[in-house]
Amino acid sequence: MTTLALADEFTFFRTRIEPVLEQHCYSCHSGQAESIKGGLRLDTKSAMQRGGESGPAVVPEDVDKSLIIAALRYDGLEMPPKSPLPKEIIEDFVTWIENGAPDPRLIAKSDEQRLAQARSHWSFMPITNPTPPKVRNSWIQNDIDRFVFRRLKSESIRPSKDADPRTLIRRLYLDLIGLPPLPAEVEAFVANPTEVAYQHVITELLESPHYGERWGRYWLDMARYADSNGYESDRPRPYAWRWRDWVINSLNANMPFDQFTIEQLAGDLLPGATLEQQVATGFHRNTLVNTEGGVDREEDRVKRTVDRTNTLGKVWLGLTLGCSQCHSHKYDPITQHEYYSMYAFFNSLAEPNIPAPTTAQVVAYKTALTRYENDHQEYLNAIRDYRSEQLRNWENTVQRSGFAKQADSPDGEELEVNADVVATWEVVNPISVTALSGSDMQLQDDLSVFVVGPNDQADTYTLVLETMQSGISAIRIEAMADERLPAHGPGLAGNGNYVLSSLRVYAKPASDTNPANKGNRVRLKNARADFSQGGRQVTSVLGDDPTDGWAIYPNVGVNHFSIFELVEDVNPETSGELTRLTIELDHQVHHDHNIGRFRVSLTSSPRPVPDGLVDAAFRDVLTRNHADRTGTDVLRLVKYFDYHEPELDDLLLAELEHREAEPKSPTVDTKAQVVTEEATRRTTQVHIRGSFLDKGDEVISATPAVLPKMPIDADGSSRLDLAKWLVSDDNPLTARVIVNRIWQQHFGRGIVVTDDDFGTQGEPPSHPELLDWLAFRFRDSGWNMKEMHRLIVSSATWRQSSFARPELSDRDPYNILLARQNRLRVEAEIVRDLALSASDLLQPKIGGPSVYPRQPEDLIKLGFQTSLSWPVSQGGDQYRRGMYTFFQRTVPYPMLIEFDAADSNASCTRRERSNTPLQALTLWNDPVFVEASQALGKRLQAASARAGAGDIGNVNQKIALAFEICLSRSPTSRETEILRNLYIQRLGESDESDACFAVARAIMNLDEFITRE
Amino acid sequence: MNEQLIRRQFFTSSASGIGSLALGSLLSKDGLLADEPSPLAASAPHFAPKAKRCIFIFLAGAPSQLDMLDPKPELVKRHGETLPESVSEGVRLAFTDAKTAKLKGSPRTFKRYGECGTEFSDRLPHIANCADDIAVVRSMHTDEFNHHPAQLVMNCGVGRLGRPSVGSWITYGLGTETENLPGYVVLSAGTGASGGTSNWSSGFLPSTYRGVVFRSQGDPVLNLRRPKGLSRDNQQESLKAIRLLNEQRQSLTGDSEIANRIASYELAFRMQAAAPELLDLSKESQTTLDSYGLEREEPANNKFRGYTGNAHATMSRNCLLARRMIERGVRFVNLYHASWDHHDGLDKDLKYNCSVIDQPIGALLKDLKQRGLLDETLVVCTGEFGRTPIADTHEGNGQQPGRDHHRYAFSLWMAGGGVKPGQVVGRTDDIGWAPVEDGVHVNDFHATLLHLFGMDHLRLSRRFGGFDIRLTNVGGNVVEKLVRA
Repeated sequence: MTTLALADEFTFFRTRIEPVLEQHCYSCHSGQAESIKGGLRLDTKSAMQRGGESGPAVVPEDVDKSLIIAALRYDGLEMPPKSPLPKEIIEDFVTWIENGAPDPRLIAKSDEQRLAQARSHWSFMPITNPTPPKVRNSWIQNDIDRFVFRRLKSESIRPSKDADPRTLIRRLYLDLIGLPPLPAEVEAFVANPTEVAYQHVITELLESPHYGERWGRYWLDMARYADSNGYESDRPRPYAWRWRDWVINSLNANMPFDQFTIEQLAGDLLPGATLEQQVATGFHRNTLVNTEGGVDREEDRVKRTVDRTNTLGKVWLGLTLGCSQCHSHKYDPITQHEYYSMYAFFNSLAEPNIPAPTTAQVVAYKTALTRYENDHQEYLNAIRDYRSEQLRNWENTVQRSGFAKQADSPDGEELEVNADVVATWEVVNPISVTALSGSDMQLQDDLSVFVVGPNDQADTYTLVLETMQSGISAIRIEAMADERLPAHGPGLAGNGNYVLSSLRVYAKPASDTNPANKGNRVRLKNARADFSQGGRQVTSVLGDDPTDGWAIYPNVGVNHFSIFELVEDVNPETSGELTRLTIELDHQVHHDHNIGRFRVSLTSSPRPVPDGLVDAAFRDVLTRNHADRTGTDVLRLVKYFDYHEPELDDLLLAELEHREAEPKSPTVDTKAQVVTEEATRRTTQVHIRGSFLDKGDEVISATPAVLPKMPIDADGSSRLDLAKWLVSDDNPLTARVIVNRIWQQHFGRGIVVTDDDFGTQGEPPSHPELLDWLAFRFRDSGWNMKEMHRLIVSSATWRQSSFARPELSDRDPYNILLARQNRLRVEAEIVRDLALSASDLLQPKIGGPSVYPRQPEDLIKLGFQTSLSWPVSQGGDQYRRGMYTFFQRTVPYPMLIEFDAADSNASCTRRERSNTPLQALTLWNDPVFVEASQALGKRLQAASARAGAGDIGNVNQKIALAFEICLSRSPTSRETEILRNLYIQRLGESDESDACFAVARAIMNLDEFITRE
Repeated sequence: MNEQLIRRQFFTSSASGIGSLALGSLLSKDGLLADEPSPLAASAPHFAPKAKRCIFIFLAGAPSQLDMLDPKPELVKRHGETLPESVSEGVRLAFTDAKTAKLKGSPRTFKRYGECGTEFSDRLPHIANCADDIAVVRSMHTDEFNHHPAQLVMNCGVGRLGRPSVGSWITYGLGTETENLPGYVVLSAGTGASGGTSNWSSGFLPSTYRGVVFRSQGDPVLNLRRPKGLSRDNQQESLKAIRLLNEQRQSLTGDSEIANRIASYELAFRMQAAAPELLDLSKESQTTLDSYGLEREEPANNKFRGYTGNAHATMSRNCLLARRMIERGVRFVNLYHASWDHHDGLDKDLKYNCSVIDQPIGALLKDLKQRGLLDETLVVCTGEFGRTPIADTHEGNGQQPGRDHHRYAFSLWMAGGGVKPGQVVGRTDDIGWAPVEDGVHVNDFHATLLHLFGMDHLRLSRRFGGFDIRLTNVGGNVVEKLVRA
């Protein structure tokens, strides 16, 4: 083969191959073809290698498989159809393919032309820095107004005057923090409505922690935040609030929007990511998750990935990427391949929940822990005191009982049997231990058996041993704690418990080798244990009842024992014969309550078998002089004493119970839903027609070609690259899209009215230069959101009166030209906040787990198989701001939905503002609003100390107060008259309290009450 | 400015059309013009109406006309063939390549029903039994082939947001015959339509004319009950004060949205008495309940496209509620059922969907007729477009292929309300690709619908943003064949 020695691997292609393709092939096989023949395109590298209906046109380094060569040679296929090309040209193609067919064409030329055209769309052009028009007018407050004024002037329209100070301050409060001003705050401003005072109010509101709530809620809409998974089972997300609070805190801290973007999209990828930066990635975890039985997990993962891709497009780019999921975008110049290149950024996400205690929680925990540890010490001291006194007594008793006589004997087993000898427990060394389940029975050094197995069935353990011991009178079962067991055992159940339902002992001469014969059943009696769980007494073991047995909960994590006397001794006389004992421990009560570690001992103690029997193994320690005991000896003694001293139980139990008071580490209950990258990156393929089963070309992560390039790594760029690219200086969309949304919230309508479609199908901006000027300023200010708010609310444009301009209703019905402000019915959550504020019921706590205000009781039962619950919050949590209401996706809180809250199933950037009779019914009759009206009524009643209830002056005062609280203004005389009539009528029928309620309820049902004027 | 003046200005500002419509009845009945006869009060519809009320059943997602209403034996014969190039040239479909896709005959059997002999598929036995009351239009076509835009065309006349829906236009034009219930109610069964609330939007008309959604689960309307200790009189006193105060505010701000708020409160007040009675089905006979199938169970283990409620029982209840609303003077009832978007698994899903809707809709037609309501109640049943005669090449999940979106031809049916029954209007070609006789555009359908209500679609318009805007956009011809003499 001919090797090529060229400066650039593509030179050969450019000079020898591409011109031929252009001249002879493209008319039928490229994007510029009228109709593409045989499904084959030759104008990009990937299309050429993918080929058409007959197969790949080019297979690098494989001339025989490259159909283009066969076609050029007229070998089966004949191309070009008219006549074959000269041999030299065909040889060039062979050489090119043999050398790996290097081909630089990622995008077809025709597509490039299309792109060039698309790039001239206004929103894809770089953001400019227009100079504010040099217009003069006393109306103008800042540069925003220059743009607006010029436009109005060109239409010969006067702008509106400022709203009056009362309206303005209420507007400021509602727009910046979503709560109404207090009457005193209104009066202070009205008394001195200077620019300085105005700016001061703005500063205070931007510094208020409620600012983060108000604007955070808007971000939650875009992030499709909810407190449950959605879909059929709609399980709750107990930690979703942790990310929600991150949003509130970040906004309150005025985190620059670029950082706000990067941390949420890729905080986990930042070097040395902090806990909060990881928490930020919870943005991606707000997708719906289907946990339904039988769901295709891959399909659901794909759905989440699609949602993440679409959300990114909508929220940051203002583009409807979603349409390209199934086919190349009909309207915007984004191809299906490009869609999946964006998708690839999110295609390898792992979704762990990590411990994420808040700083406040950690501080509170440390304080509580110190307090607890101090308290707990008392319990430990009590045990210590008891021991120090009793241990010695016990030891003396044991020693006095004659045990010491054995001291001289080095080895108990060699002792002669002697009735005077104080008996001990002899731990058995079994010849076999098996489990019916097949679990692995591991014999430990201390001759206990440790059970390893799936623990998924009621198990029977069989232990076989042979002994020469005579006069065996009792058997002891020890259930032993072990760190390897759940809750440290001794049981295998999740809580460390076990239930021993039966203990069966069989004996036969070892000479009987028939394996089918276990021997005679040895009957047991007089069962006792160091501890039995209430209702699960050790005596029940004797009955062989498979539904009852011996258990020890909650006293888990420590050793326990039980003793069973034999009705008749085994080996009553010394026979010198070996006896084979088969011991069966049965656990029939539950499928998973098997013992995890146990040991069996026998004794030949005279009857009655005493409780205080010691283990043979302790003989040496007990008989050693105190001075000769090692630390370990003492420890063993103490442990043993605890173990066998029933009187200590009360103290030990008290200590155990007090442990429940130990504060829980917030790492247990406060987790955060975050994302990380999976260890290996998935390959991403185009989903043909959007079907995840129908995989097409492979793509790497990249951004759409119509937008400025981001640096591309060989294996695709990372999520972090994507996030940085979004907020890079080159990106023409993000800053425009975000300032437009801020504007939209302040005016009810964006400069671009299609705030989520900046593509070619969207509406163009009404004030293009103003949009660019704002976007430029925003980026230039370091993406300072609070400053953007200040800029907007300081403008004369924003301060205008919202009164209608009837003369413009025909010319400008949507108020696009901004000759006035707009009256806006406040958002669902704020309707609630207003009622709770006016009634003074509002609990202004910021953040924390979501709450459950009252709702009709049967409502939550509409959820999946009535499995959902609505544990109504108690105390102050009933009166939290609307944004803290637990959002159950399948059964959302009805008041919120009635007032057009986002349904959280997909990103929502703009809410509707409907006006329905059902809203009237809510404000009028919903118990929450009725309670609020009553509370406001009580405020009115309490505030009037003067004269009789019917006194006109007094009534007027109440009405005035209610107006100030609810509407930040004084009533007109006509308004007073209307309400006074209502008041007096009600007073005639009932009492002052009801009359105040009626007035409060009427005002809280006014259009003005729920409107930002 | 007083409120009447504002209203008058509001209505007179609509230059053409509206001045000659029967808005007076609406205005006087909702109490807003009670004191002063409006200059509009005396006006009537343009001509004598045949229909006075409408039940508009929307099968969102687009049902397959070829498996329900438009039998094509030739298509069955040519099953598996590709489309003739003359047909496929230049065709754009949502998901399917028209050039390579194969024709798909319907596996359904069709039978002639009634004296008229109109054919219905075996999936619609109950509706088919009303054949003599039904006019099927087989030659419908529309402009859009994606769901949301096409749903907007079917509801609002154009595939763009911001226009009033049919129900809004009709209640705007004719008002409502009930003072106690919304004039325009929306009930939904199943998963909900992709167009969502924009399907019953009042667009630039006041939101008074927007469809009011009754909940599909649990209590259809919450908070109907007055607070404890308050009498209806108290509620009325409070209503009066709220109204007077809102009027004060409106005269100051000039915002017509306040008039809507006032209307919402007045209606809410009356609904408190009327809605419980409407929703109380205890006086319906067991025979009626059974005929609608209110106690039907959802098929076991059915998880139809993510929907988990009982669509069968909900659809039945909604159909019965629709009749009760009609009886009580509601002008326009929208019944939604979704989803019918059968790109795959068509046979299985069609069976399920038809089983949801067929019995209650059949029962509704019979019930209306029996009570003498059908004459003046127009019942419409349609989707946003049709489905292709070719198989959708999307074969996810290995199910049988379904059909793609098809805007060139679809079927709908109408009954009652002055429709000439027992006939089929229009014909599509042998494979059902496009109409070959009496093509009916959605604008034509809307023109006909308004005609049945005694309104000239060219004159029912409202000036907005400098244009006189009407439901039929820039088109619309009344389909005379559909109108009973």
